[in-house]
Amino acid sequence: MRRTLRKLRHRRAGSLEGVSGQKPAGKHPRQAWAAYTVLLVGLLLTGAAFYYVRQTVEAREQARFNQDVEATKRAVARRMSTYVNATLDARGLFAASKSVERDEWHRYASGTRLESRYPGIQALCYANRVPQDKKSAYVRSVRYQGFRSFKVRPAGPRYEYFPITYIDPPGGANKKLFGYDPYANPVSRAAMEQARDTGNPQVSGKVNLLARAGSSAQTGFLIVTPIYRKNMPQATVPERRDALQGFVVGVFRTDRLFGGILGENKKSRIIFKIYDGAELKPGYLLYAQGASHGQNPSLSSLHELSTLEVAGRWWSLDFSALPDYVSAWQRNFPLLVLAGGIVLSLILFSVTRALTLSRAAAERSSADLEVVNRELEVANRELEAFSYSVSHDLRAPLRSINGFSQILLEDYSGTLDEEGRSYLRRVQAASQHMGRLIDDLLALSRVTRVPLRREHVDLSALAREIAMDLKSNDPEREVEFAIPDGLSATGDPGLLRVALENLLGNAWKFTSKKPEARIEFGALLQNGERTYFVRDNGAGFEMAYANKLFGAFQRLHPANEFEGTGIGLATVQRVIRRHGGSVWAEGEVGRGATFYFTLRE
Amino acid sequence: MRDKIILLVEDNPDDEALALRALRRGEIGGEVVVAHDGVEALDYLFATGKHADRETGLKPGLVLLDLKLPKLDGLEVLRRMRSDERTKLLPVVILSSSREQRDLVKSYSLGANSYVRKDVDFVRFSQTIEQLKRYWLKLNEPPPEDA
Repeated sequence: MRRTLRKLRHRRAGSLEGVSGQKPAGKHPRQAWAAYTVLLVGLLLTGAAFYYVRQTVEAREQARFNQDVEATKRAVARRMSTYVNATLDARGLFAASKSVERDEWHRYASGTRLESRYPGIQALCYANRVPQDKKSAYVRSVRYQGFRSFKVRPAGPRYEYFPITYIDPPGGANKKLFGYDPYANPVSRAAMEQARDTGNPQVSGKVNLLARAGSSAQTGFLIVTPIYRKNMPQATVPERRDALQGFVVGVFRTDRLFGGILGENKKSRIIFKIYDGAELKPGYLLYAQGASHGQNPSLSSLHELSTLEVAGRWWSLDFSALPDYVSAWQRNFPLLVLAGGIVLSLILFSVTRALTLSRAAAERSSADLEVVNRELEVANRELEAFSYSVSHDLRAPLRSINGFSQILLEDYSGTLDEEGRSYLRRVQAASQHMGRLIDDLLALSRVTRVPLRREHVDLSALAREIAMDLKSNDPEREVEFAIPDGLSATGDPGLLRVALENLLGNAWKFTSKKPEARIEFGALLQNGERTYFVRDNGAGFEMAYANKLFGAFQRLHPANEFEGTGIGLATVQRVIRRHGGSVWAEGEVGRGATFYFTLRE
Repeated sequence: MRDKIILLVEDNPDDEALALRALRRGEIGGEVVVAHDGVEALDYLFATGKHADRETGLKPGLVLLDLKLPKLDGLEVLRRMRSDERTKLLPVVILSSSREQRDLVKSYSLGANSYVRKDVDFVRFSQTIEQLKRYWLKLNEPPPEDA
């Protein structure tokens, strides 16, 4: 027995622990995991989306960059070939005539409208080959043509000279070229020798061009094209060296030549540099575009280095995108996806967590409720068992008291005087009263115990039925009942019957001393709520005691005036309360009472 | 015609005395046999146990059965009576202190013919018993003996 008790207590403690959540049982951690799983999955998806979007954006930007780079390279190659062709055209002039005179050259050059057609050309010149021994005669002959101050620059003895003789356009800064011997410059000399030996146009290395006085030297290069004497063989290198007559020298300013090649109107965000040769050193830099933006291209991942052969020389083309080559939107889009994803994940996480928490709380409270319910059930069962045994056993002794008193009265009335008989009748009356008390108490407890049903109840019919019963139990009385048709409600038929029985029974009872008793059952609308009432013109009560009416065993009238147990109205109140309504009373001594009640429907 | 036997199943001696007094009243005679618990009631009905030597051909005309009984309660007695051919149709009136709904439902479900509450007021109780006797022994057509 004791062990069972302990076990019970133990089990109870265990269940309470589970309920209070100190030691979360099975379900709760799993629910917590759900939220974290949502978070994890959300973050993983976000990470994947970020990675994917970044890849996509990068790939797209790379493709755009490559496109820009290719277009630029093609443009450079195309422009270069155009200019190489321009120098070749000039060579054609020499091939067509026996010897090209100054006038002829100028006619040709102005005919080509050099400046407008080839804006990158600083000058298109002809450099005549002058061996050392013929230098003085050559200078003299040029001076004879009217150029009194003509001399070959730089001065100094050399094996042979290539003074620039014809220049187009002749004016401006180009005047300084007249008489200049590019062969004296190692860079142009290398190109000239190369061109002489191959017979092809040759691009020189980087040269600093003589600029107008006062401005700094310009970066440029030359394209030299050899011109050979027509009647001499040119099949081999020595033959070509012998046959060399001079060079067509194209002088190019890279800034003019390549300006706008990247489409400056497009406001390109690419730094584009052209280096002479393979080494990317400032000394070899031929041209740079976009470098003045003050942005560090190393911040961008977009780079391209390629080489281009232009007329026998290799150039390096270096492209790097500025950080803002990729628009801010494109650049930040992956970050936006990342941030958005994280925020979304967190929101999902908190929502899930809130849901699981509230669900856990709901489960906990429903578990709490279950415990309370179970306890209530136990209490109810105990109460029921109690009522059952009361209804069976408590009345038995009363029957004995009443029965044997009756037997005494019947069989021994002779030996008892009137006083003795009256005492016996009191005993009987008391036992009967107690019998009623027990019945009423049982009824009261039944009102609380039985499960509440909700059905349509015809209150008019019910009231009439009760009135009929009252009349048939007491046929001598003349009572006028006023019960209108069509009063109905939703509620428990059995319990509503108990309530109406009590109210109408009270009205019946308390009008017993009125010669013209009237009992009315009806309904009215009070504060927007349907309110039923039972009104009588009976004994009434003092309003001061109105609140005492509904307590069990409370009676406002002496027992010898109106019999009763004082439980009826308590029972009515319980019935009404179980229906979610309320009950109250109004009365006046000697003029009657009205009992109102509402039902939540 | 012999007076019909009434079997009163009642454990409370006071109730027994009062019931016997009420049963003796009126012009309708009748032998009353009292059983003080459920087992004794069944022993009488089936002539077993302490009633083993009883003449079995004699069936009571009415059984007044209390519900709260020692050993076997009234409902169990009723159940066994109704499941036995010999007592299946015997009129049984439940005589109980209570009118609890479940007692009523169970009694009728098990085949009680009537359910009467013992009144505290002895005068009314006596009237009730008298009416029962008159109704079941006089007015009512009993089931045929060989049914």
